[in-house]
Amino acid sequence: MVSSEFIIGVLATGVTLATPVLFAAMAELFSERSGVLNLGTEGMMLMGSFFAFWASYSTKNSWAGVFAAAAIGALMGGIYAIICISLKFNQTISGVALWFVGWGLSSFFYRTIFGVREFPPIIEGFRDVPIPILSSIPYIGPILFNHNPLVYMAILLIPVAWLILTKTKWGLDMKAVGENPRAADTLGINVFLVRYRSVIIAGILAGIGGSFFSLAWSKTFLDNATAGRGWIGVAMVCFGRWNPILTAVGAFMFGFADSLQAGIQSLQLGIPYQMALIIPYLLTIIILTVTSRKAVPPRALGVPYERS
Amino acid sequence: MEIGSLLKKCIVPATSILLSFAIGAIAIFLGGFNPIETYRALILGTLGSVGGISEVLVKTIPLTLTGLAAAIAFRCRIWNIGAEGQLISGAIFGTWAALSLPEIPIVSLLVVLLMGFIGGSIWSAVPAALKTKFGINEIVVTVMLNFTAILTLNYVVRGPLLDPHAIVGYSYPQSAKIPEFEQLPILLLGTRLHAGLIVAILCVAVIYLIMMKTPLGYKFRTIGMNPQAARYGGIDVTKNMLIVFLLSGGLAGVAGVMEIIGVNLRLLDGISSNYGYLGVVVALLGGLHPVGVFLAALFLGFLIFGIQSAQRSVGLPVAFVIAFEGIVIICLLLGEYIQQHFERLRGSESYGQ
Repeated sequence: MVSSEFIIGVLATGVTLATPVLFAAMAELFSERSGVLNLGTEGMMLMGSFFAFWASYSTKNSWAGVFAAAAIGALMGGIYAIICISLKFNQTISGVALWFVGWGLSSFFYRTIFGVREFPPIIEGFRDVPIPILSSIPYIGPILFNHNPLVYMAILLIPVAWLILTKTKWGLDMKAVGENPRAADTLGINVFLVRYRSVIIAGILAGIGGSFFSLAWSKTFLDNATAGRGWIGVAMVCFGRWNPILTAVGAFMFGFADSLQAGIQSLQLGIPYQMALIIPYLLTIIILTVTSRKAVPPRALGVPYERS
Repeated sequence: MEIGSLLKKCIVPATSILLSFAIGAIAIFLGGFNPIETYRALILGTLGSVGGISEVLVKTIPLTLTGLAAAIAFRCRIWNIGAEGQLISGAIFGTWAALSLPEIPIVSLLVVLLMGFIGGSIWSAVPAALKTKFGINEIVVTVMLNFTAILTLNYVVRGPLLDPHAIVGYSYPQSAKIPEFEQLPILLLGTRLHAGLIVAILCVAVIYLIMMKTPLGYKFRTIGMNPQAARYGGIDVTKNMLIVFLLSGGLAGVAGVMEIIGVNLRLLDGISSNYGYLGVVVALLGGLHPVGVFLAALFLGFLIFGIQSAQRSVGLPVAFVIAFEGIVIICLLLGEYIQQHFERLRGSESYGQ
């Protein structure tokens, strides 16, 4: 009854749906590896989603949208860095505050700029760009190599993040600062610089992740479009034990579950669609429950560094 | 002395509010509105009439309860961001009870309120169990459960609790009307101000007594200050955290059921208007103190209804509420930061003498 086309479809959509979670999780990973808990990811994504929409609507160019999302993400990351690294505010509370700011302002600016309309303004957005040769491989081609550019960016981000975090001085400095900032400081690493850098990179990644919703998914701006994907990114970092590859695995698992629930809805088995939509959220809770007992976060996570 | 220290406690929240209005003015200006005109509309729309003031109080009721829910949890260092879901769950359970109970004067109403409390507690029992049993951080879990609750509500008002008289495809998806004997009485004729205000104030008093005057509250506060020390001191941290979680969820649940039996009189989508999330800012603005929570809820109620009136008069989008809330929290943290620095400065001066 379930055809192979259905399975390929579910897997391909799963890769697409994993994209925003992957960006969110990588953003969170960069921030947390340096010792800064960033619960504002969801808010940064929503701002990214709106600015991407606005920029690409005005310029008719989707890449301008990606750039705008990255810029607003960097700005929010910078603000969060000042708040948490320099002023040393409580990271849980200020992260939640940043979420509210991003959530509220994205909807506020959308309403003030575009007003209330009967039909929402639509952008062209990204289209699927099949990669020559690779996309014609049976099964794997349609699943991995027939997507919009943001999906390819997300997939490329996995090895890039792994390289940066484990092989470069930037990444090793981040790890040192996240595990033991005082020792890192003694070794001459500028703790504040490293943390600022990581949180701003996190902002950029979250912003681009948010742009997915307007540029590649709905082709318009929707209030609260992320629907918790930023938070799920936070959960996936915990699932991935602060390792980029495992974190990516988590993001893909989420994407496939999300796509599967959409597939189940399309089969019309009489299951209420709301119950299907709940699956990804419950799955996140279950994943956290099963895996987080063994998870050991960076030792200085959430603790502001005081140079005495 | 008492009044002096009370005033001193109000300095930081009051200045943060003023600062938030200043930052908010920038956002309003960027959005293409005149900030002065907007704020004028905000104040006139709320405090300019009895109707306005009563609407502020109507919003104060759920905000007080979600604020208390967040405050007692935060006091215990439990980051319950799930009041939104707990409120919705309370509303669902309460509505279900209200529509199935027979008519017994007063008793039915009390049972409905209790069911709201239980509904909220059930929703907070999940993060409570996961945190105390497996050590799983409650923040992500409570946020996930908020989305789950919204979807469950969406299903329930189209399925099990759909008004049997509704005409599919024509009527709005909502439950049947709450029978009159289970509705909260109106306090002021011609307004929507209902007896939930009394329930909210009672809850403030009860939580104040529990937190400040009983051994239980002492345990909660000790856990919040230092869980390790509390454990060494012989306090059962797990058990007390569970109690706080259930109490916190229950209070949010009562907020939810009272929105149904006091204001909407039917269960429908979007009953919460983000009261659960707004409870976070109410708790922080109120200094995690029950009385402070009530004052902060009054302010937030004023703000929300004010922005709603400003939407009607000058067209300011209501989405501004949630952004303003975030700005208030950041300003509050900033205010506390500056105050601490002042105290440290003053401290070093007195050392010099």
